[in-house]
Amino acid sequence: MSAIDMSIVQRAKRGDRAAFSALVDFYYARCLRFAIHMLGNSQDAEEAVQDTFVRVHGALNRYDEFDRFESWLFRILANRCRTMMGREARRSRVLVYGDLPHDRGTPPDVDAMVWREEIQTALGTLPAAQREAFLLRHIEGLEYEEMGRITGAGVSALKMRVKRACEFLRMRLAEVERA
Amino acid sequence: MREERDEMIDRIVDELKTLPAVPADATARVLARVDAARRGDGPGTSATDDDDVIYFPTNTEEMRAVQMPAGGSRVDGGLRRRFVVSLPAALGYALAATLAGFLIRGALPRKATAVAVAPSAPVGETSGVTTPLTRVAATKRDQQDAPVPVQFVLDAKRAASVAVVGDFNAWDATATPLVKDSVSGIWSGLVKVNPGRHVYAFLVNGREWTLDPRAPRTKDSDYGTEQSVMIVGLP
Repeated sequence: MSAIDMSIVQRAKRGDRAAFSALVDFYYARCLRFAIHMLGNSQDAEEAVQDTFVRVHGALNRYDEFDRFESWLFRILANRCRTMMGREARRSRVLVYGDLPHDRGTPPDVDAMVWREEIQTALGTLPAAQREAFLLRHIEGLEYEEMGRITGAGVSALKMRVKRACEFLRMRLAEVERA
Repeated sequence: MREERDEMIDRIVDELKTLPAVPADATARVLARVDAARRGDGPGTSATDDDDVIYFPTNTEEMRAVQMPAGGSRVDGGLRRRFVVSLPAALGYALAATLAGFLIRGALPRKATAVAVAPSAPVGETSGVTTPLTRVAATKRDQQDAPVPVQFVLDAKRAASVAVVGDFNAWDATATPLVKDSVSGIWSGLVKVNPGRHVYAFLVNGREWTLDPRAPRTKDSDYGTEQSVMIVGLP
C-alpha cells in the first residue's frame, strides 16, 4: 500500500474534517491488522485503533512533517497497544480467531484455517517486543530506522528481535507441519 | 545481521498480511468520539494522555545493541545526564511555599518546602560545566494538585536531539524536546508535572533510551524496562 498523499495530512492538520476522515479510511484496516496481531483480540484491537485516531486528531497540530506520517501514526498505535496489553496482562489471554475475512464464495479450507490458527497462536506466544518488531518489519514493511522511532529501540536491538521472532515462528510452525 | 526470510517466513507473512474487515461505521465512530472530546464529554484526545507505556530494550544484550554502533565504540561516550531545576525558580518556589505556610497555618514556617531528587553536582568530563546544575525541586502550592514546572537538563554535546519521555507526557518522544545551549552544549527543557511520583528517561537521537544515573531507578511493571524516578511535591 502506498503512503497517503501528504496534502491530505496537511489539510487534516489545518482542521479539514473530510481530510481527517479520508486519513482514517486510508489507514484503519492496516492499524486494525496490527492491533489484532498485537493484542490477539478483535474487541481490544478495535478500541486501540479508535483511541489511536482520536489521539491523532488531538495531536495533529504537533505532528512534524519531517517525520513520516505513517511512522508517527504507528508510534501512537503501538503505544496504545502496549497500554492495552498492560491491562490485558491482568486478565487471561483470549485469542479470537475468525477476525480475518475469508473468501465467502468458497467452502472453508480446514487446513488453511488450522494453519491460520497455528500462526496466530505462535505469534501470540512470542514476547511482545519481538511480536511488535516482527509485525512492523515484515507485515507493515517499515525500515528499521522508522521502527526505531516508533519503538524507541535501536536498530541493532530491533534486528535482534526480528531475528529471534523469525527463528521462533519457523521452529514452532515447522513442528506443526511435521505433526 | 542477516535478514531472516525464507519460504516458511514468507508463508507466515502472507497469511498475516491479510487485512481484516473494517466495520462500516468505523470512521463515523472515530469522528463521533472526536466531536465528543471537543465538547469535553469524551475520553482524552491527546497523544499525551497519561496512561501510555512504551517499550524499550528489556535485556542487557539489547541494551548493548542500542548503545554500541556497528563499529563497537560507544555512542556519545561523553553523555552526562542531569536533571535540574533552575536555582532562581527553586528559590522562588521555596519562598512562595514558606509564605503560604505562614498564611495558612499562622505558625512558624516549616523546615522544608521543596524536595530535591537527583544529584547535586555535574560530572561532565568536558570543561565549561562547573556550576552545580543537577537539581530537581518542586514545591507544594496552594493547590496541592497544581502542576509544578520542572527543568530537565542533559549534557549530551554530541547528540543531535534529546527529548524527555515519562509518564507525565505519555512517553511521547515528540512531546518534550529539549533545547541545546549552543555554548555549553547542554540540553534543557521545562515541563509542568503534577505532584507525585513520576518515572522518566531521556531519549537521545530519537532512539537511545538513557537513564539518569544519579536518580533512583525502577522497572516498568509490564515489561521490566528500567526507568528513572522522581518525586515532585512535599514529602
